[in-house]
Amino acid sequence: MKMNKLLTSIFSGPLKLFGFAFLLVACETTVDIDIPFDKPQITLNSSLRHNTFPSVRLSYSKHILDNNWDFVPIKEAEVRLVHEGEILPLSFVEETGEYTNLNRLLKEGNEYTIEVQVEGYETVSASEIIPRSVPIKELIYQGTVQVDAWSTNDDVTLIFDDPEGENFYEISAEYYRQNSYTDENGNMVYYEDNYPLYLEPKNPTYEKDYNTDGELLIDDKLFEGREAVIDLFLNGSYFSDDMEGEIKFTLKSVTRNYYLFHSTYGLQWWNEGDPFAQPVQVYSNISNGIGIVMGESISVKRIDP
Amino acid sequence: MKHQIFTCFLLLFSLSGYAQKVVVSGTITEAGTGEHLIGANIFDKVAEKGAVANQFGFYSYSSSSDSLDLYVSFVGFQTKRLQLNVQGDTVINVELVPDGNLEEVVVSASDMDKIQEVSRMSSINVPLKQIKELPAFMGEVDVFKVLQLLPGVQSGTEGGSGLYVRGGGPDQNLILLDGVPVYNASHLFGFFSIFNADAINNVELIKGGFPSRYGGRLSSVIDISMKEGNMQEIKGEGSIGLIASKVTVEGPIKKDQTSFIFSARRTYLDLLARPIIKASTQGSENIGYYFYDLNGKINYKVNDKNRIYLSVYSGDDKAYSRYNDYYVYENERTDYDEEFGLRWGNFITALRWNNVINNRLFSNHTFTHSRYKFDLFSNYEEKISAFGVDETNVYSERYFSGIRDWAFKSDFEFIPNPDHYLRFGGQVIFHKFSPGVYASKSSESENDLRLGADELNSMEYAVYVEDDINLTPRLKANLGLHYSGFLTEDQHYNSLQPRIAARYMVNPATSIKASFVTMTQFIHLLTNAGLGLPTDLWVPATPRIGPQESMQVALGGAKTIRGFEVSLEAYYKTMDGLIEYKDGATYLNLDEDWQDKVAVGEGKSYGAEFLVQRKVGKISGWLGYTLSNTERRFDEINFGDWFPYKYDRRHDISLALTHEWKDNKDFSLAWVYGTGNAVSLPTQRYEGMDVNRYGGFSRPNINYYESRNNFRNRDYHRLDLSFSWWKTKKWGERKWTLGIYNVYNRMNPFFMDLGNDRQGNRKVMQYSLFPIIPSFSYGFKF
Repeated sequence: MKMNKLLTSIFSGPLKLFGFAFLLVACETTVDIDIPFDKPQITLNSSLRHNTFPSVRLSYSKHILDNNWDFVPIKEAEVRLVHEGEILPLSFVEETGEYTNLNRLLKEGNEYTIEVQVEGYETVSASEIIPRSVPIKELIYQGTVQVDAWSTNDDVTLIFDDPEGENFYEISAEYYRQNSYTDENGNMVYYEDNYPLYLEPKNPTYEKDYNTDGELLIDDKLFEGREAVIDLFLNGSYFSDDMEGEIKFTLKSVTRNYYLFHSTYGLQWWNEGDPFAQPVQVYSNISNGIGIVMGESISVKRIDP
Repeated sequence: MKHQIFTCFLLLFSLSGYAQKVVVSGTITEAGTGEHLIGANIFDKVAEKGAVANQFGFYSYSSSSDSLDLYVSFVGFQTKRLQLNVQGDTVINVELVPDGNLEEVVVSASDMDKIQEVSRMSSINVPLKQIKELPAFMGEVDVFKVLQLLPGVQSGTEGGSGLYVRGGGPDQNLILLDGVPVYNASHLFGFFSIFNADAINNVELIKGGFPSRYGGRLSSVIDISMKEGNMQEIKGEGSIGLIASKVTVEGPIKKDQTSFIFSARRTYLDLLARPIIKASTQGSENIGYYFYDLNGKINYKVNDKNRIYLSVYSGDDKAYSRYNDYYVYENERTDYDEEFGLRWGNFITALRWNNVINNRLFSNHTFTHSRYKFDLFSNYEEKISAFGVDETNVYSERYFSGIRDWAFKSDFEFIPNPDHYLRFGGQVIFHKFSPGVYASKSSESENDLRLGADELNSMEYAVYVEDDINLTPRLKANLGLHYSGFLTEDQHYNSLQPRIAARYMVNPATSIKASFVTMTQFIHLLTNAGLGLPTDLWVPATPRIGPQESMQVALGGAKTIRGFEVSLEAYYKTMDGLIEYKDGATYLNLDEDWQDKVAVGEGKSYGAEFLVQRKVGKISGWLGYTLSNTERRFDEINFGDWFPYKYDRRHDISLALTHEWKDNKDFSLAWVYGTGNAVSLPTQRYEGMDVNRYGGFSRPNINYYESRNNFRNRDYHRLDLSFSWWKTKKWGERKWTLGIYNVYNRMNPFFMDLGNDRQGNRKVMQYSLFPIIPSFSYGFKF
């Protein structure tokens, strides 16, 4: 990552010359191009998580030049969750803008199909199998490394056993602390710190430019069916004596649909505004519509520094 | 199969009788300079047969009669008639005198150079005089920009000098400078080509029907020959333009035996801007950009049968920024000097030996070295002074890539009789690829850092044989085989490529032609934007990423009508093993192997090209029209579906005319029209699944692309004009040229993006690069 940043910063200097010359002579004009748009498509988004209630968000797509950026949820749709021939209707909840059913928890290993009926449209549907959660076998604090004169990083190793077959994972970490102080009136004030930690993998294969929030989205090509040993740096030093609280590591076992959606969307987001970048089509698995239905199961392990 | 083809060759060759009485051979040169006239014609009116001078001006003509009536002709030169009675094999060196007015010389017998006569198709030779007279972008004559005006050739982006031939990519052009491959032929981020027109003798573009002697690229051959230097007297020419100046000097080192030519060109925007930048930054900062070219050649005529040439090209681009200043903190003064920039360039050398083994056999042996390098650098130096003690720290970072070739090539030409022209030979090239290395050095650190791909060595070799055969008085064919191979990382690729081209004379003015060729290319170009940026990486075929291959068939006709050469060709081309960056991939990420960043796929292109060309006369030039379709398919892009190639143009029209208005004035124009390039634009926007960005979850707006390159830029068209007038002075000749680029100020698209207009409404924004641009240049000749 460091090298790429350096490279980008070096390159940005001389390229500014080209950019400057371009700005001197380039002209910007608005052009009227007929972009066809027969009618909006149904957008279906749902993440099926183990041990949670199903939730489905529906909206209409907009013409690319539509000035309204807000999406209003579709309320009048008929939404069904199908599992092994059993049909479970989902109803719209105004507060969340989603369809749900609080009588059924989703379970790992099950395949679910979401079917949506909206008047004037063919049935919109998608299927997904919730992957089985993979426990974190071990978390090892390896020490602290000096990055430069001012900062240090924690060196941590996360270990788990990769099941047979193709698997995908998202690894993330959070810092959590409860603390208190006495204010000027002598009252005890309790507060919580809870924020995500930036994970930098030692193996550059796992790095992604668009990963600005520090989670790692990886496949299992490098440890297929074996013990996975992921060496990480935490962006900061949380294992020092003056730090209290805990660090929570989450190993999210995700589906191929989850992996493809997040990686293609991440690329589209990262390349936005770059006229020289290749365009990115965001992955969708919805029949007769767009969006994503994906599955995930989590396992968590905490370390008290 | 291979044996059958070889047997056919032997059979055809054995049919060529040796019942020839005399052989006349020699060289054809320009009177006054000794410059070889490549492609000049010898036509024997008695036998109704003839010969053509090769790239070194050598010709050989065999006749069964000792009575000859030879017409020697070349476009732009006065035809010379030689009536001879020869007793045996004879050497005749012919000098042709330039026809200053380029008046059309009508010699009915010299039909050999007519477009309908030659068996080769899809090949265009543009007279250098026309190249120099056509309007030039910012007054800078550019060979590639003229080639872009020919049918079947697309220019890519506005102002760029890239060549996209018959649906091929910019890496699929074999650009030869005196026989040496050139890898990155552009200056100024692709806006100018590296070739200085003053140092060039001949330019030929081949788009299909490739003769067997060429190989290693899929889509075109651009064969550029440098001048050899005036053998008679010192001559010079040059020009001073808006952005660059150039000078060329040539002459004899020893008259009629050794000559030289030296040419230099440099831009000077950086020199002009330096005082302004220095003044505005109180002398602290200096930024700039320049490019230069140096061409040199020495031509040594050992004797009538042997010549040696040494040619050198060196050219670099450099963009830089330097900044120095100081600060004081707690009695400690730090002076720092930082510099960053990028430079790239080619260095090319060729040593050639021509040998006339006998009057039927000619050989040329070439040793070449070619180097292209790209270097991105950042240096920081600080000197800390405190209490009389100095400490200096130095930090530097570099990213560099490049390719280096060493090659040896032997070519033989054997002309047993006028019905056969046999060429054979072979070459071997050692490639050394540096596909992107990052290095960091610091005076404070014990260990230097070096990351990125290691150097890759590979070897490419080829052998070929071809014969230009008169099968019957009406039917002529060029049959050939090209065999090439590539050794890389314990992997051996090889390929046998049959080449066939034939023409059939319907009547003396009309012919039909057909060709079938297969080509193999063992190297790839990793390019992100298709702009010809110096960051493009040349990489070899590897065990994972194989070579590119193509097959092309073409069918057409040619006719000469009152001095106008008319040709119509249809072609169909398929390409395999093409590479393209996957969605969102970027060359900046060195952590990832380039092989993981690319998708491998296929392409196809088909179309029809129409060209009317007039090479001589008061008004000369051409009108070209291309109707074509080009598509690509990659498993990992566009969900595996076919999509239009970025530079697919359904219609392309070009008109290029020069008019010799008066004895000392000429006028020229170029008008181009093309369907807009294919671009990817989203058609819809939709709400995405929650994503985590910068510490919070939100539902993003996602752009929905129906397919790759689903839209077209607006059509491209532009008119350029140029007017020149010159005057003879005591010391020579001076010439003024006024030019206007984009006369009617058409805002052609450079790229399109989504944005907002002044009222905040979502709109498609078009960015244009060049409005109307006037230019002038002052030229001189002595």
